Amino acid sequence: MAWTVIEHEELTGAVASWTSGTIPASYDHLCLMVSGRTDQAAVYSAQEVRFNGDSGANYRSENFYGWQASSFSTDHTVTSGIAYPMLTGSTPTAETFGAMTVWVPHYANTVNHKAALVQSTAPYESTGSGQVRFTGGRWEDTSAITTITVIPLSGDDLVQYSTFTLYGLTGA
Amino acid sequence: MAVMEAIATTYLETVVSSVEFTSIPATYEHLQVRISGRSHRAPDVWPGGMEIIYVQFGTGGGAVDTGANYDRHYARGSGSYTPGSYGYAAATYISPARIMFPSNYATLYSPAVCDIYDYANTNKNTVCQFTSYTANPGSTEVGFGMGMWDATTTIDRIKFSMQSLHDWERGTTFSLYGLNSA
Repeated sequence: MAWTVIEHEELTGAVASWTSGTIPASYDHLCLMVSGRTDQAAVYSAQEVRFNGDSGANYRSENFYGWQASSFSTDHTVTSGIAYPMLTGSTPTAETFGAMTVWVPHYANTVNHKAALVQSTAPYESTGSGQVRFTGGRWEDTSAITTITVIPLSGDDLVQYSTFTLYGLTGA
Repeated sequence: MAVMEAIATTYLETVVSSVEFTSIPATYEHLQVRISGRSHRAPDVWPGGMEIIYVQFGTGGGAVDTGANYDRHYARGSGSYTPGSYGYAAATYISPARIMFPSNYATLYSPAVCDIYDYANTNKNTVCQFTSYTANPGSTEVGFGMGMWDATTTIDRIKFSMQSLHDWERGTTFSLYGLNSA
């Protein structure tokens, strides 16, 4: 399987969201790796992942996550993006950034709704207070994906030094 | 230039207590380690159990940091038990994955994958995510975890060991990859 860098960006200042450039339809799958933090006044900062700029109520998601001494699962129907991978808010030390990997198989087909799998984490230097999370989500649209957006649910900003690396994967 | 490059692979010909990757170049954007491993513990005092991987990082050509500078969290599902979650701060290692114990399914090695994000960025602590699976009679487990090293220096060394200084079994493999961003 061959990996190709589609684009990479390190933020030089705060932005309300990050959106990729136009993604060619020539790959089989997409992988987005994020090292990110927001200025939301919280330990955790929930994110939405959107496709093609669609912020309509066209997404369904399921989450399984570990936080403190318990694990939880929650589903989210009718959201405006795949909900809710978790990054770090502004409460942890300034050097603390969350991590997130988004897998989107067969993103360019025009027959099926699109599904994505997201693994994310919001570390925190306090016992038991980090969070790890698996999110599966569906975009109810058969269009080929041409852009990906990561946007904080709270309306706060993604901050400087957050990085976004988008890969295209081909099997041939 | 390939986007995903193999940096090093270690195949254990003998039982060892730890494995280290050293002199890791700072030229990649992310690192990934793929493990196929199992524990060698003699005597096996806890049949049916599972082993916990310990991970530590180092920088500047020195040894790994053994200070209380690691934070970690792990969530798991195991059989019909209510899924559990564990988090610790100011630890001397991270323990984000579980692998096979010696008494269980002798030919089976646990898979584990570790992603280390933006590891050369000196504005950030080092953060990694793990997924792992272990199949033991009565306690099969799938888990995902994270670890953070509270240091902004570029890592050039990673050490994999086990709880209570247990050993890695012969045949265990570790493969380290670098992912480019250009």
